[in-house]
Amino acid sequence: MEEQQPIAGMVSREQLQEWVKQRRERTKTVPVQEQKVKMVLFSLAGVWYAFFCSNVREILDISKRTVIFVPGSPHFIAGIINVRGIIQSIIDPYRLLGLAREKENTERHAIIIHHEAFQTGIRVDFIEEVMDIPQSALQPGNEWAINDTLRELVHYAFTYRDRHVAVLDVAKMAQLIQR
Amino acid sequence: MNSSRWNILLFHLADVPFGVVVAQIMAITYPVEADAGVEVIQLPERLAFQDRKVTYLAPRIVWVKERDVGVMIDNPERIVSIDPAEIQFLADYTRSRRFPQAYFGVMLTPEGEPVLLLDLQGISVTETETETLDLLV
Repeated sequence: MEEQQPIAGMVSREQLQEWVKQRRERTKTVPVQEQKVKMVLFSLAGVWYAFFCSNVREILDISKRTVIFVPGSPHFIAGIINVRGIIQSIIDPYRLLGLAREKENTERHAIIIHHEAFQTGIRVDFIEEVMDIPQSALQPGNEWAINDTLRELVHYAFTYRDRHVAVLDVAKMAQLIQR
Repeated sequence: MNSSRWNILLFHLADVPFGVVVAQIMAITYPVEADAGVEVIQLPERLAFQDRKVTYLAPRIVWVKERDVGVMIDNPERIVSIDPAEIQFLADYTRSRRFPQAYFGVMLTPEGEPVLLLDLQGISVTETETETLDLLV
């Protein structure tokens, strides 16, 4: 019987397995972590809006606090409140944004927003959710704005649970308030 | 009483808590006749109270030192002593456009209620004086 001789240059079984393994490693699909941004979703007169969490200092339940009216202040100032010994101004977004109020006294929360040295509280009806959304879901949103003020302030928009959400630009809001 | 502390007279008008520095007051009197020949400032005429109804339960006039003018307040409640360092500033954007010197700050009562501190000198300036002061800022 003729003895089997190793063929010169022949690939061994071990080498072949290693090549297959390396090939698999190279072609393996690695899921890319999509960039996400954290948002606070809130509602005003049934319409959903959002702030980037990076602009939010805290969310307060103001249902049991008295907002002190400041006579003579601009019409969009709801008043001031005491937050752990610090006086905080509160904005009435309906007046600032020119929105029609559905019911009186529905605003139970205040979102404390900030941009550089500017800080204020925005009174809102409900905090809907605090969530991460993919960066890619954000679309230019000012065509959704229903008036000139919102057109100036709406930064992005996205759809969430079949609802349109307008993202408000806190820097522009600060400019508008301090104008 | 520690002289470094300020005495503040507290009152409410249309449910808004106000305070005035006692050192700015020359006297407190009952209201005077309209034709008494003295100027008495009505706060709702200087500071817009928007849609709030302003009624006086026990009106009094605080007469401002170094000015021939009085300011009508309501039902003086009490005098509290505070350290001026405890006074906080109102954000600039909350200031009155017509009378930006109307308030010099906000204090908290021992119960934690914010009180708007009226500057009696600031509220009693004329609008012409206000414009001049604005130009100097």
